[in-house]
Amino acid sequence: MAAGPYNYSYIFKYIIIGDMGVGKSCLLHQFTEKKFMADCPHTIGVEFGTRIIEVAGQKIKLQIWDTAGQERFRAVTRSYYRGAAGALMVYDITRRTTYNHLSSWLTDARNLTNPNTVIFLIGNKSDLDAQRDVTYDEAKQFAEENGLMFLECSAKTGENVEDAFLDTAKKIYKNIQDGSLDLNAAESGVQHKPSNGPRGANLGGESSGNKDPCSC
Amino acid sequence: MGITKTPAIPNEINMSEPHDKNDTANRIREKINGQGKVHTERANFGSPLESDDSESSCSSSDDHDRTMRRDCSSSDTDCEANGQTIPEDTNKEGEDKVIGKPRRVDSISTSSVSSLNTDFSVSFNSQLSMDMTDFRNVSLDSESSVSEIGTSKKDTDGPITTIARTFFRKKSDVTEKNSEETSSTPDIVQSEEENRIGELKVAKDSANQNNNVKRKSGDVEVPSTTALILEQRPINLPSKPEEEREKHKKQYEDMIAAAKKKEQKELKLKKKQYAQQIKHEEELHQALKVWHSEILPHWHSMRDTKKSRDLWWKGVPPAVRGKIWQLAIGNDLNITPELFEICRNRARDLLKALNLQTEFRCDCGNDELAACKEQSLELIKLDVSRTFPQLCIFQKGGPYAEHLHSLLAAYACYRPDVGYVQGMSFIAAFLLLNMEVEDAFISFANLLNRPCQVAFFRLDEPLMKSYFDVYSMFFRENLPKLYKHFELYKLTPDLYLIDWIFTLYSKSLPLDVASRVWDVFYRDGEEFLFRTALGIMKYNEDIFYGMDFIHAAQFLTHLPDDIDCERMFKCIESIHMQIEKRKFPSFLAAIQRNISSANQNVQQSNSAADSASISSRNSNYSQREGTSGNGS
Repeated sequence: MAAGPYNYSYIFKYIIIGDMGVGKSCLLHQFTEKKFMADCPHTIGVEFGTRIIEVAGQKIKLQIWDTAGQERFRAVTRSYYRGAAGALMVYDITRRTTYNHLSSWLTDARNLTNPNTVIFLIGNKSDLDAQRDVTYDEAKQFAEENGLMFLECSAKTGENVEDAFLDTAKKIYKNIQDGSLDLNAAESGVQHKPSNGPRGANLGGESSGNKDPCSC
Repeated sequence: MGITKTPAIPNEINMSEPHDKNDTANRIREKINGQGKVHTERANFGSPLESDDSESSCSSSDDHDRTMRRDCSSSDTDCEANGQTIPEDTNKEGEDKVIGKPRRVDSISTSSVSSLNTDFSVSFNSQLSMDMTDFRNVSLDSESSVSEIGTSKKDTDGPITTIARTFFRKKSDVTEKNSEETSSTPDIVQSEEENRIGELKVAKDSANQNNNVKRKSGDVEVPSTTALILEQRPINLPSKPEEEREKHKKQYEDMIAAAKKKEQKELKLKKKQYAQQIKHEEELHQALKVWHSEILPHWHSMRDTKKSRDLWWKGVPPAVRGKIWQLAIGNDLNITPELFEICRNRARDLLKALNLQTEFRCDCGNDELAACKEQSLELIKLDVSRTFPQLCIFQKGGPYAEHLHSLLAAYACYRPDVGYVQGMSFIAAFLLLNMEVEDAFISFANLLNRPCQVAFFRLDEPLMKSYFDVYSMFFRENLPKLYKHFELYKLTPDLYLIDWIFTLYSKSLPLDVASRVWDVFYRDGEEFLFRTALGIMKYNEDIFYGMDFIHAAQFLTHLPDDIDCERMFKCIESIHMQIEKRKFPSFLAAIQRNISSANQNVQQSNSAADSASISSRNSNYSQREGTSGNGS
């Protein structure tokens, strides 16, 4: 967990989406705490996590929105996509239905974020290879067809979790560098070096916080 | 400082009796209800508190209790299984953890634990014989291993530890401290551990003797040794100069004095806490009498009297809590236990049919089946085990898993239009902790029929927004400065209120605080839910000023679990639910009137409904996004 008065150059907003029980909260927990919660209570609405990472020598603060997976909550969670720089779309490799629903998640992700939002497909629970219901190859193909980045991860063992979050950030950073992501555009999901001006409107309220006094 | 730390024998005014091996649900209920050990002990004298409690909570069949003991009794039993005669009062940091039986070996590598195990037992044994060895080394060793164990405790946070965390509230419980330590059982491989048990037992026994001697003397005595100053130096070393000897002696005495002072302070604190606990018990006992003899027999005439309302505010005694909740929720829907039975069976059949269907992967056209599938019967299974995981009773194979599942499934059949919505499982589970499954179902269905719950569980966005809006008005009225802060950071209520309202705080607040919130919620109605939210804001007000958006949002969706119940209720009490003589319901009604008239207008000029609803939704909820795209 991010703590202490770190300086950081950017804030990226991430959103984690996907069906119920695919392990969204566990992935987040693994990424921020480096721990696996075997039975983590299911998310109602949205929960948050944050961590400061480093990409190309730049400190980047990730502001991660972890959403509820139930279909019924889609109406509510749709409002959380806005201004996300990265979207992690998760399915469970042991439950085919969660894979089948990806296209509808993808539609939401495409419609409700900006065109430059990096969408990363995560096949979670790779530790349960014996119960696999979705092959690596077909998911890989799906990702390629839709221009998504893709990894199979395990929130339990931590395998590839770090990479998924970091690769997303690297891609976003690359987009900033080559100018395809316009920081000044509303909803870019990225906020540059915290300034003294008003909060970056596109980030749902991050303000001039070059200090994080809390480590909650 | 090694000296003061290494004698890790806690000088407790040990009030802990041997742990009673009650079934876990009972204990959990006690914890939830903020009752510590003291309660149980008192109850042993035949206090009505306990007899009622067990009556209402032991609820189900013996069979059930057996399962419970087998499946989820916490490490009492584990210790019992392995440590056999280990005396309770030698519970020391680490030792019991080392002894505990492994429950699950999933989150920590075996080798690291066993090496830790070795370290500790070695250092512990050497501790006892430290007169003969180089004390400094030993103390260093054991200190480091203690800290290692500390870390491992953190790392291996199994469900048991979490139970301890949640319920054994350090503040109010003196005696629970022991059991918390007992419960923190890291995962250890049994074979490794068996080798050690013998050694440790010896060590423990002698430590225990020490402890007994100490307690008899009545005063605090710090276990100490003069080995550090090495009065008898080995012959191969020159003898100590006089002044050095004096200096060491002085240092040693200072250290002992400091340790003694510290222990005395702790002892005092513990005594005080104990006294408070007793007082609290006493009050509860008195309150229970009043509830039993005065309020319950004349519920309808008494419920709104000042006396009962005051008593109600202070928290309903656990023994009558389920009863009071039932009465307060009522049964306007006239649901009978038979209806529950019918719904439950129906759910079971449908689920079976669904399973068959999934096997053949056909989308055949049984409408009812399809509807029920839509209403997420299957999804219930996913969430049941993720409901209060720290309690270990709703998990697969846990004693209450089946009840929770059948309650939720029966409800989905009873109200296919609502079905199962995430968040319900927490409410149902919380009811199940306090009443029988049939009663829980009746209360659950009626509770979900209240206007606020209907709005939320149907995810009726305009209605939900009306609640958020009125909440925001009272937020600004009561905590203007914090309101501004939140506004600045665009921390809108939907980000945290959804979780709180859906689960009625049972997920976010520690269970004893949540129970009290439920108590008063049934007294004051939905308004109290929002008052509680403002109470939480007030309780943490100063903390929020130091937080930016993400930290505050994170804080709000993961509230700390060391909330002081009394202080929280003082904060809630200080929230006024009236603005210029208008109350919460009046504001709400006004906003909702607007919504319905707007709806009518929309219906009249209805076109392109879908796209409109999406855009209005976006504007409803995305105010935090603002319009000025000042990103740099």
